[in-house]
Amino acid sequence: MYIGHVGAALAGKRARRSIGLLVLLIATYVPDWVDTGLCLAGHFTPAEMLSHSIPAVVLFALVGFVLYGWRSGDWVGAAVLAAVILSHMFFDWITGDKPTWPGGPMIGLQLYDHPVADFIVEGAVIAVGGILYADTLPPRRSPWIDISVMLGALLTMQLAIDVGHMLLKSLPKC
Amino acid sequence: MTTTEMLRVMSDAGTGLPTILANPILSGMRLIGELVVAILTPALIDRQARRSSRILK
Repeated sequence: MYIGHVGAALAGKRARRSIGLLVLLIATYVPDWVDTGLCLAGHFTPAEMLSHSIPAVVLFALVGFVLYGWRSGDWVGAAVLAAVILSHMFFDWITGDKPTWPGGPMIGLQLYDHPVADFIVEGAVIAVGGILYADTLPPRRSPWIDISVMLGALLTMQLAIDVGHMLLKSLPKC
Repeated sequence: MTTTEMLRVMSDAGTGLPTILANPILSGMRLIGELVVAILTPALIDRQARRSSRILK
């Protein structure tokens, strides 16, 4: 999943309003940040065992839970943050093909091979997250403008990615 | 030229890109760029929405 992960961060904001949205946005992409680091270091493997396997993502969620809880003293918020990190794995099982554990099977519906279906699913996750997030914004004149801009920007980015996927099917992640 | 034909021409033109972008440094930079855009876009819109509501008060 690409921009759909933002939907999880937006839903996390609704679940715990005291957490900064930027923190949730960084958290929702933790496995991809790890992949980016591995890529730059020249240690990336297409299986993504160190970044997207179940033990790896559970470890990231635990680290996020402890770090956020220790820094903020808000352990409920820490649990929400950990859930947002974990959501990355579950959403990737819908759109990708990801490792389970060392020696275990790869699982996933691989919607990336069907960009239209991928856009529909990711768009739905973005829309649900956006609707949940809208409630966290303070009362204001024309509240629908902000949420429309947010959803419009996210859906446009997702559309660009899906079109790019159609045109560059063989482009590796790293 | 139909849309399908146009997409096919663009796809053919893009077949060389994966080879160029397979470099780990370029790929890493591309991944960072994608993540930063995906994160900063909603974060900035959120900030703007909260700021505009404060101005209204």
